[in-house]
Amino acid sequence: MASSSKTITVVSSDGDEFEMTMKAAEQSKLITHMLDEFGVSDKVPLYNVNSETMAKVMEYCKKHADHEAAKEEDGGAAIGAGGEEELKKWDDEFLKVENGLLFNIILAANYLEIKSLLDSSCQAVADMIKGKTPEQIREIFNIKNDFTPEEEAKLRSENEWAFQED
Amino acid sequence: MTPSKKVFPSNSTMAGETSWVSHYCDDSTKEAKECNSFLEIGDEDDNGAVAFLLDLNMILPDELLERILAYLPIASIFRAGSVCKRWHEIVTSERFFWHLSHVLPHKPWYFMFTSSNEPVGYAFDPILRKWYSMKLPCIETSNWSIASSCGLVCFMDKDSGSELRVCNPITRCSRKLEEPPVLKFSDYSALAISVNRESHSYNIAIIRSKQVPENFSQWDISILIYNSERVTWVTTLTEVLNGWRGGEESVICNGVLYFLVYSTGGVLPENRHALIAYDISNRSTHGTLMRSFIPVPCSLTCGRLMNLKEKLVMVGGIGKQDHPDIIKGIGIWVLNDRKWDEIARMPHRFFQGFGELDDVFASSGTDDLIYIQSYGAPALLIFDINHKQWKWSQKCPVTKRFPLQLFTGFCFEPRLEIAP
Repeated sequence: MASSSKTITVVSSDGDEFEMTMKAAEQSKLITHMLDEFGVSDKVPLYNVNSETMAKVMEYCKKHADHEAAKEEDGGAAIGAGGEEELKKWDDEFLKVENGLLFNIILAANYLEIKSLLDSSCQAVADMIKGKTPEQIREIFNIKNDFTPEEEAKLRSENEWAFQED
Repeated sequence: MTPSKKVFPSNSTMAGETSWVSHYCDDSTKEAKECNSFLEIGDEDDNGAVAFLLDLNMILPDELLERILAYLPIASIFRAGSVCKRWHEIVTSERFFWHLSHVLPHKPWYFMFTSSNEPVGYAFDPILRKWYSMKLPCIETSNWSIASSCGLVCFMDKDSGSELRVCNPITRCSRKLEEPPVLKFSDYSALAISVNRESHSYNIAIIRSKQVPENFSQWDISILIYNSERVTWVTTLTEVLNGWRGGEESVICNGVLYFLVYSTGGVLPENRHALIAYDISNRSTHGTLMRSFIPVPCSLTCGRLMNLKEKLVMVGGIGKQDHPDIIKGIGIWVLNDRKWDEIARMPHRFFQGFGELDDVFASSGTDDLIYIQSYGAPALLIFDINHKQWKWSQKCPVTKRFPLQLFTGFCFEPRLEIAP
């Protein structure tokens, strides 16, 4: 396991404090930069992330930090290809949350600059959209259709094949 | 990551939006069952408590929506573009195309012709596992030679060999090319195209074979190359081959033009086929072709060449020992350093699944997928070279209407952001 016992504290917009190891913190480029600039002793304010989202992000960073540490330790032997797949499965389960939280995770991952989380969470939303009709997509995200029927018909006819049903 | 919005709270608009959401979240946690789930202002749920439900789409800034939509398969991108005006603007923007070109290549589709008169048919999408009824742009019949690379498809008319078109079959954007020099009509022509992923410029190669009039074991071979940046054809080689001729099978891989040659007349060599490798950039003079012969791995009934991630792959019909014209199996080889390594052999049950497989068949592939199709039926077999898996495609929605109906096809990468 990681030998570093150094931890830092981050503060959410709700005022809750969360502790994370240095290794976990390094998953976020933003936090890393802030620590470089301001030092580790102070609490890092992350007023753009609420507690619910912060808790999820913490969980992600810890999991990925532990995974990296395990890779380094055995020279990659313990992890192997199976390990990477397992991590991916964990990520998939991790992102099975309701839409509002998922969107907040995307925003947080973007703000905190956690690339892998941003990529996976964006892919998760894409997977919700994939294969759906425009009506179904609007329903999932509660989007108002601001096209006139004529405009919509024109769009469909331009690429008719894409709208063919199964 | 969004490179432009660096990162301290008060400056980022994204930060502004995040904190707006979390502000609402704070208020609603007391009332709503789920944080971040809001109803229209004024709506009441069953208990009469008022919660707020917003268009979740408004929470995400354009940059993040772009990222999400760039992960979609092509058909879904078009559907997303008709969800609302904002989404439409996003998927038709230059920046979105930039995102697309940085996403991993989409798995190739296979277009199957279902008519010998018109260029209509069905395109198979392996991601959504669907067939789309489509008509190919810029050609009127299906009697054209076809080559494809990185989202562009090149057509050459088989009759005169003088008409060339390049198109993107998804966006239907097409361009007619300047006619190549035609000195004499050729007996066989092969076509190949190679697109540069970064610059979108492309090279097209035509290999023409014409039998020398008085000596039927001698063949006049010429290679013509077109470059999209210089917008001109260059005849880079003319040579006479003895006992071998070119055919219709060629592909460009890593700047090298590969084409199959077939033995003609005279003493039959061990195998009827061979491969020639011609370096496009390093054009040398007379006598090159003979030096770059590469024998095939075994006796083939036919060979199909393709570029899979810049490696030359050949799908070949394996001939029976005593009857090399009769097919007994199908193998897949990759060329490494002028030597063939066998990657896979089609398992018997799939081979049988084609029914009476002719000694010739259609096959093409790119990226990680190889498609194999019998000319006599619309069944399509897919080999994933990464996972070494064989799989039939979903059943094609077309049935054979009469005994002599033929099917053929080609594969191409579906891309939105490339134009000829």
